[in-house]
Amino acid sequence: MTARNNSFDENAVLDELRQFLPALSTGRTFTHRNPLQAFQHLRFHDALRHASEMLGYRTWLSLDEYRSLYNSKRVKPGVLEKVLVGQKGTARTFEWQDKVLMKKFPADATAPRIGQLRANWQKQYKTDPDARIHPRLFRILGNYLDHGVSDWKFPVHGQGFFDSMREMESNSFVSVFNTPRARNLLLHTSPSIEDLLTVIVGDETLFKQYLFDQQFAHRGWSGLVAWLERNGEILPNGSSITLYELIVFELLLEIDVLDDRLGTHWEPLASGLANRPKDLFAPVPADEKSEVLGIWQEAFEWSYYEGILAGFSRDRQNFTEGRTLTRIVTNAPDSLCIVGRPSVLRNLPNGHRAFLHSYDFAVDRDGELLKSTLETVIPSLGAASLEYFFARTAWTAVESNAALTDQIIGLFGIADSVSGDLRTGLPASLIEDLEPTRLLCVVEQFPETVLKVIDRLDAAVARWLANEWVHMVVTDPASGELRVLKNGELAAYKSDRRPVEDAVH
Amino acid sequence: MAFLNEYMFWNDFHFDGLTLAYLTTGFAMTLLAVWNGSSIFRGRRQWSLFVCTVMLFGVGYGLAVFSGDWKTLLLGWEIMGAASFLLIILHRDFSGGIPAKAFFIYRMGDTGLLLAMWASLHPWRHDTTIISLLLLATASLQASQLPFSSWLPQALENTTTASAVLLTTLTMQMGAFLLLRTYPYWEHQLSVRILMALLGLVAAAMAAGFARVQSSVKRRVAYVSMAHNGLIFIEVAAGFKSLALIHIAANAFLGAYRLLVQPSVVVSGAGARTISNRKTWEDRLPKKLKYTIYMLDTREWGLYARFSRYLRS
Repeated sequence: MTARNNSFDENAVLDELRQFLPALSTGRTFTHRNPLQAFQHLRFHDALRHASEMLGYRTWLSLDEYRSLYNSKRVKPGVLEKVLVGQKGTARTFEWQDKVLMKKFPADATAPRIGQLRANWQKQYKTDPDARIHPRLFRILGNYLDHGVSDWKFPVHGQGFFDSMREMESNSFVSVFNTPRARNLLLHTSPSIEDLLTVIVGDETLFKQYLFDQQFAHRGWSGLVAWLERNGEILPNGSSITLYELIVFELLLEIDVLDDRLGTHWEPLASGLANRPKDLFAPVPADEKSEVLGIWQEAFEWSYYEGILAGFSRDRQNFTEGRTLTRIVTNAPDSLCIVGRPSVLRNLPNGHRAFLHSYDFAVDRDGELLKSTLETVIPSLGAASLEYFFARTAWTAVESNAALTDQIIGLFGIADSVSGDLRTGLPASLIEDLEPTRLLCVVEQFPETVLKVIDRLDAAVARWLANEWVHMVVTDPASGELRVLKNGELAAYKSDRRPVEDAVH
Repeated sequence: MAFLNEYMFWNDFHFDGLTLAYLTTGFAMTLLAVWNGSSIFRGRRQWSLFVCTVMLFGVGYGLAVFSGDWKTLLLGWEIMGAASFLLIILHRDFSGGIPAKAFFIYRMGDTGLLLAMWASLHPWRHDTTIISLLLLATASLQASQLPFSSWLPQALENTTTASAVLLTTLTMQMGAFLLLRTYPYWEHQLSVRILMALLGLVAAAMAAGFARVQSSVKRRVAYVSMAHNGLIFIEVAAGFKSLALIHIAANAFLGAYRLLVQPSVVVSGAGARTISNRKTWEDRLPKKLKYTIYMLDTREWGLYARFSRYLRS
């Protein structure tokens, strides 16, 4: 996120847009990518707050869901208390406990910032361009990108999207547009994004926000196009498409629809703007609700980790003998990773799955091996677990109803029938029973060595740890002690599991 | 039968080859829809709603198929129409209210049937042209033919696969049933038969074009089914009743197959590329004509955009 520039830099804005758009690929083979990649320079909970306020993503479970998890003992009271003490200090624990458990917050009072600038079409001109552009645009994109549904494929082969559309347009008696201006712009000029935005928006300082608004109105399609472009993917008919071409074409369609609706003489959007919408990229201040949700998420995750870590801490023999351990088994497929000797895996309580990276602390005194292991493991497994995480938080009962009517488009994607946009994230069947947790990485090595390794890590990977996008716990091979990585230090981990509490179950 | 002989108005039910054909097709399709519905609605609160709606649909369909007079036919027709509408929307969350506007658009066609019934009882009932035209209008709306061509693709796009099976294979094909059942009314009217065939021909050509360029699986099924119904209209108009019945059953099974066995999203890679670049007969057309037809079909002659705004809500 950079501050708003006064001069509009097309390439910079497009690059930034590509970072923000979801990665959507054709077909099922895809590499995992953190859905909030564009926010990864922020600390985890700050990033969640930003994504939710800016883009309207649901990045936490709802407050009601957390509270019902608490009531069903999935979130342990002891862990919640520990998180509260850790974040708010002993003095304010009681006050915050009340907020976390009881306080009613107004249900999503503020609309997200995305889309607010373009909402002015409706306010000022009483017209919603998207209602007329989207069906036409998605139809054309679907036909252009089709991998094998239609019998008659897009008739222009081997060219870029914009050139293909121009070729069609110049050789057809029927135009894709309804009015002459947009048609002439396509046929006789090669308009830049900036030229078209000058016509539509007018004010250069709003260009970037306008483009974000426009592309996030169908982030699935845009994400797919950005993915195709990044991977240099050639479509079945030998054609290609870029995000730039998509945006220019969509802007032309906008001019067409507005010309059709408002006549040829309309003022650009900025000229009649009563008050400027909130800057999309301004930092989002912390508020009570997001803090409460953050506390819940931490408490939820550590309730889950606790069950696992209890297996690792040596002193468990002192009190687990002869009793069944109550532990929380989640359905988070990729949320545990162990870097250590295979024998460590024996400590894993039943019912958990983990990725084991065989690693012997004894032969790696300077931690070179650990460094390279972490550099591969953290970004890949971390991204995978975050994909599940955000797919689950975005999922609601409404979504699952909508999923009933999903339809296959061109064999490359699933369209959401409500808006016509392509579905992003993972299929509902994979995430319905899932509980969102970040990756927990358990490393068997001496704490001092691990700290040294973390200092030497590649900057991008180190950020994952520093901003807490993944959790790391170190188990000391000599003493069996557990330490949690927190703010760059390894703090001793004390299990909250008290014998008294366990005996109840 | 009452359609033939108005003195036998008491004769409520009727059974013949037409009934049998529609009954067996309907039975098979309902089973398929319930089988599919049980897998998609399993464990959801809509399951009971779905079962009730299918039963209601079955009652309406049965009444219409067995009907021996206007009253029974209209009753069955109405029940089936309401059930079809419920099938379209039953997966939705009703907190926002039931979309009444869409309901009236879908059910507009019943006025035609009502008027035809009224006209048949009216003193000038011997002027069968009006009755025939009203019947044709009702049938063509039900079968998603011209000039009301858009309801089926819209409905399929916004509903579940189980409902889509019933809508494509049964609800829609009741248009042809109405024509076959009222055959004696328009049998001797050449003008009505020519009009019917023309409507069918244009709709078939149009829908086939739309289907060929369609990249969405469900919309493609809808247009293919529409094109076949256009052909069925021609067959009915020409008097090939048995051929029409075979075609109707075949179309039902084809539509159900295409809906239930949907292609999977391809794995990108080498395999994906082999599907491409098959030459089609359109490629032999002059470029200008080819692009024009392609663009026309892609934009669906502008029919789609106008309707969709009401039905999406």
